[in-house]
Amino acid sequence: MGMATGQAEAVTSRGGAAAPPALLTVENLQTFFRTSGGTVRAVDGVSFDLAAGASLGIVGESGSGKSVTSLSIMRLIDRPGFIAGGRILFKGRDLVELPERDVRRIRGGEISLVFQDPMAALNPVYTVGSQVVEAILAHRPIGRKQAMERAIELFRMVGIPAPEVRVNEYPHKLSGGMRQRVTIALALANEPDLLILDEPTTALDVTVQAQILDLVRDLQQRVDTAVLLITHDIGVVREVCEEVIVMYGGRVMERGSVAKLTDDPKHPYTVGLLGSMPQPGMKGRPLQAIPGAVPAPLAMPQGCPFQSRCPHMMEVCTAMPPLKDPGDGRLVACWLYEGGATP
Amino acid sequence: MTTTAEPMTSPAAREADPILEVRNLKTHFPVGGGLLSGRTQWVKAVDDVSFSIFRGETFGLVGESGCGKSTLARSIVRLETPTAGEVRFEGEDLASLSRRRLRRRRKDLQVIFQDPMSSLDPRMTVRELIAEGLDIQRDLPRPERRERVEWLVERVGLRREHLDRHPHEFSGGQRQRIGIARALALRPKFILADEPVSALDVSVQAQVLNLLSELQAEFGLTYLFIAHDLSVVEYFSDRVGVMYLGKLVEVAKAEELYADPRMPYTKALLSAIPGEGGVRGRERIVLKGEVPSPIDPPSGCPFRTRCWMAQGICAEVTPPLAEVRPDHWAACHFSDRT
Repeated sequence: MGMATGQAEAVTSRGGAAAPPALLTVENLQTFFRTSGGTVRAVDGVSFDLAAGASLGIVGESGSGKSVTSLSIMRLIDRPGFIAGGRILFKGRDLVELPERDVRRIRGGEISLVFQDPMAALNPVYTVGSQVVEAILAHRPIGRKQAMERAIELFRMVGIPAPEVRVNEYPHKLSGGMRQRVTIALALANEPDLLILDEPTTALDVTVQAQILDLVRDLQQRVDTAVLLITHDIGVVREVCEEVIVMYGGRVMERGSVAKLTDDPKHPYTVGLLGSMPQPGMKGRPLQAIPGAVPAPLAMPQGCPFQSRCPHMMEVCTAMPPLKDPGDGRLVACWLYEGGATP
Repeated sequence: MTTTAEPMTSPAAREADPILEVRNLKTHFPVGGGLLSGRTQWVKAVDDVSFSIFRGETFGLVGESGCGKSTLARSIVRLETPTAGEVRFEGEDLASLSRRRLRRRRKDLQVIFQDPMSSLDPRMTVRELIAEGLDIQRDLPRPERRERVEWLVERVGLRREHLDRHPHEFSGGQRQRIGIARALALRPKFILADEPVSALDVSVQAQVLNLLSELQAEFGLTYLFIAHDLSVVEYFSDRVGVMYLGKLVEVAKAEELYADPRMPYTKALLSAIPGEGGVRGRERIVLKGEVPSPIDPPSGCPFRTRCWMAQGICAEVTPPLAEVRPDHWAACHFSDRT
């Protein structure tokens, strides 16, 4: 362990003895964007960890910073964005400090990413099979023929029927669900230790979404990869993940087991988010909507980003509360669970 | 035991007051053809659909991409021209109306679209956008139009000072409020809400749904409500219709449909709602394969190629939408066994 622990400790320390060493530890990550109007703090002090083979969901609405977090882990932040602070430890190496050449080796190898839109990940002028072959060859010293065999194997694993035939198809010939299966095959080509799925089913119909989520759950058990699932839909997280992080305004509001957070949310934002979602049996009653809207990126308040919409807003909320365990093994960033004390 | 009449002739329907009756509606689009094939093919986007919407209710329409739900809805409000069949609004067949009469009728049927950004002219101010319909119909003198616009903007939760701004100055939720005020301006009786909350964040979606409910109670509105989020449709609708490959395959009260679907496709669709396992303990039915092409749909039941209950008869006879129990209609030869 040794090196450079310090400030981050307070943020992550979760109860529980002898937790397995984390595959991924994000410490106080800050990813900012310089704009003409000022600096947007898209991700502002996010910390979490993920054990090998585990699954974690990140839920948030637009502007919560959930996707910027995943792009930061992949080091895919382009100007005017930049990682302003913090560390992203992957198997002990800090991805923030790693030279681009090494990051490229990790990307698509040990860490891979599946996006919402499979057409953005697939090249329209190459067959889907050849794209998987290229991905394999980029990371492994094997022959093209062997790589194609592996591609067919991967297609079979992600449930593409007649894989020997389908490898020769072009992306536009496939349905949305099949394309997303191809990008998942592509992501799994090099047996990643970490698979990041960013809104993987948002563009899909509900029955196709169910197929893809079943596939992800099944694969996670079979290939033993850790999964980080980014989504706006807490129902999707419930299908795949053990644990969930709720983000708002670039910060982590709450973290805990999916069951705990959905059955008994603690943070006022989590409460509001769940209250906004219609549940069976709620017919005829108004939804417990959160008033107002997410503040504009440049108008985020000092301190807790949710204060302007929070029914429990207190004076102390102008300072950001730390993530703390209220006593049941989860983490909440809210002064309500701090007795309203000043930091 | 099952009657094969149309949904509007059920006992409860006869008592209820249908504001809109759709009979044998077909909307087909030509595709391909051209020089090489020499023959035009037809996409049967809406293929012989009959149902009624009752005054003051919310009728939810669900189904996956390409099932024809948007085309059906757009055919009803005549944003598409149906190929055949009838749409009766308060007893009057909209297809038989002259252009002028139809224009007068249109103020009773308004539409709220999914993406307010693309349905609101960016050069117009909020005042102009809300007043546009009023200014075209000219039923009211100018000062009263102005008054109504000012009242509306506040009623949908915006402020008067917003009236002189342009759409891009608003958030997605606020833009949808503008779209709602615009739809309400002519005091319509019927509103097609086509994915009105799909582009919005969850917390904002709840605000807009609450607003739509309040307005419905206040103005006695009837809604045809389309959303791809099945939980939202259940919550918001009185009755729900399910479409598959251009056909209406099941219609029932929302609670009953979600608790006890009788058509296998509905069953599979509802079982796919994410996160539901824990809520309702429903068993997930994962459908095999993909939706067949609407150009060349299967013979008989459109769902038979993916149905785990299909028998010989399903390929031969198209099951009619039949009343399988009071006010519950399903198009399945084996609806009693589902």
